[in-house]
Amino acid sequence: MSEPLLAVDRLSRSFGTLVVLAGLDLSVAAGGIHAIIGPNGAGKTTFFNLVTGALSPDSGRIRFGGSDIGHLPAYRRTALGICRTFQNIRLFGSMTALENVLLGLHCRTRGGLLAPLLDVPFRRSSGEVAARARAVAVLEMVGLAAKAHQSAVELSYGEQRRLEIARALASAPRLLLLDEPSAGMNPQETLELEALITQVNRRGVTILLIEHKMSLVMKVSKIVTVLNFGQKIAEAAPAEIQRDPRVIEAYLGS
Amino acid sequence: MEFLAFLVVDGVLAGAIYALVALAFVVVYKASRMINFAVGDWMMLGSRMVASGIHGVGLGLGGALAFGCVGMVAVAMAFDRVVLRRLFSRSLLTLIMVTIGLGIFMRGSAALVFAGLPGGIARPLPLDPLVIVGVPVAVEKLVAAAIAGACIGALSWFFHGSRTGLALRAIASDQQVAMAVGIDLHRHFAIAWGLVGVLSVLSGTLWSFVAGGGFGIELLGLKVFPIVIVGGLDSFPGSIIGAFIVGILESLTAGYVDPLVGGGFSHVASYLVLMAALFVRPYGLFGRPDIVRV
Repeated sequence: MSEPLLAVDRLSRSFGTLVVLAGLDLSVAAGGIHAIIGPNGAGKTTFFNLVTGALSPDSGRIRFGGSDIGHLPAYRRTALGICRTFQNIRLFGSMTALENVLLGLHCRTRGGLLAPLLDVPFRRSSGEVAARARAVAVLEMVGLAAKAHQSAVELSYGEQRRLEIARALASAPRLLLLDEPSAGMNPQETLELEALITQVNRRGVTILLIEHKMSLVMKVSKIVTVLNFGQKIAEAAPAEIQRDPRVIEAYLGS
Repeated sequence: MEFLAFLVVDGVLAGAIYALVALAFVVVYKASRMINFAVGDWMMLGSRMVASGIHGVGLGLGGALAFGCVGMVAVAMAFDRVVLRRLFSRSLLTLIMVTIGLGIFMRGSAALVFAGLPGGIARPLPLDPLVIVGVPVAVEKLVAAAIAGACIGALSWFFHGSRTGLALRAIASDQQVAMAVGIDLHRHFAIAWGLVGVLSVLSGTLWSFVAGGGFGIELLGLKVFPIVIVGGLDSFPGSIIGAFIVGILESLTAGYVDPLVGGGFSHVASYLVLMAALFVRPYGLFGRPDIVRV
């Protein structure tokens, strides 16, 4: 097997006396959809925070595309191709949908501080025109092109979720981390989300998915990792995971 | 009636410069939630740099402005790099104390560095007031207000039309998410402080045109508090409106109340409004309610 896209090595993190991740080893192969499940407090979101650089690990290594990224600040990791969405929607609420996506493009566009001054004043530069075109294309992909100029808070719940994914996609990630994307969605919205996830994956984006809705996990993912108390307790194809006694125990208690 | 019109116009013109000062304050607050208690000292240092560009280096006004901008941006970058980066994610109180400390440092060192150099900046303008529809208007104030207005326009275009401005607004909205979408926070904090440097030079110079420069410019910084408390700490339009309210209020009280009480009331009037605003709407007329109190 070729080198995994993301590989973490004995990753640990505590908050005070609470050990949230206890020496986690996990590899994500390039190209697939990899789900992470586990009871609340198993360390799933903390794992995302460590991979994206929002938190630093106490110990352990994080390798992405073959190089160590554990010491890099968050924005550099985004530039390398790691982007995420949040469990509770976190959009720039007062900005329009288009502006939210443009911010996702931030790390892919250039234009130093002086660019607007050197350009013809009050006219958009060619780079900015191109950026806008790309942002509109991403909005189209998630079905929000018609709402480009509405502010994010005005969108419906499902639309806000999709906008968050659009903002992440705009940064052209190689690895997209989705933190409970279906939370709070009705069955129809969940179906649309499922289609979107597979579509994004088919375009070559590897997806790491934290999810509680088992129906969604079983349908989209190729491999499922189960976390409990900050450690991996099982990892297998979805059908096998459902039958694993350790998983059943973790969820139902003994 | 004419006296009233004169006072209002005078207040509006002063308000335009106050607005520039308030923007220097709000830029930093919005980007980093930091409260800069030393805006007045920044203005003082900005105008002293321009003055020494003229008197010490022998530059013209344009050259001296450029000299001042380069100098103040350098000060801002050094402050950001040497002090603020080490204090990243420290408590708000620590950051506030640091700005006060820097203000005192600026005041003290300015006395040493600029010793013997005059602090005044000569006006390149005639002194005869214009009379517009029967109301006398001081030319230097009019020009200063026009320049301040142009700066405000450019700044608002920068925040709403440029990539960097958009990123600064994103940081103001949610720092953690801004980081996650790929924005380099430290670079943008540095840019925000650089803007403070440039705004300090401009507003400090304009104020020197109008008020003669030298003493009292630090006090200009204190006016920022009634302005942003009335207008809202995190709102650009609010702080601009707040600046005009304070400017007009000062002018009216100077015209009508000061002669009755023997002077000085106009200097306190805006602080009375500040206290009233704190009782009624502690987050300002245009601010969001979730702002912490200081």
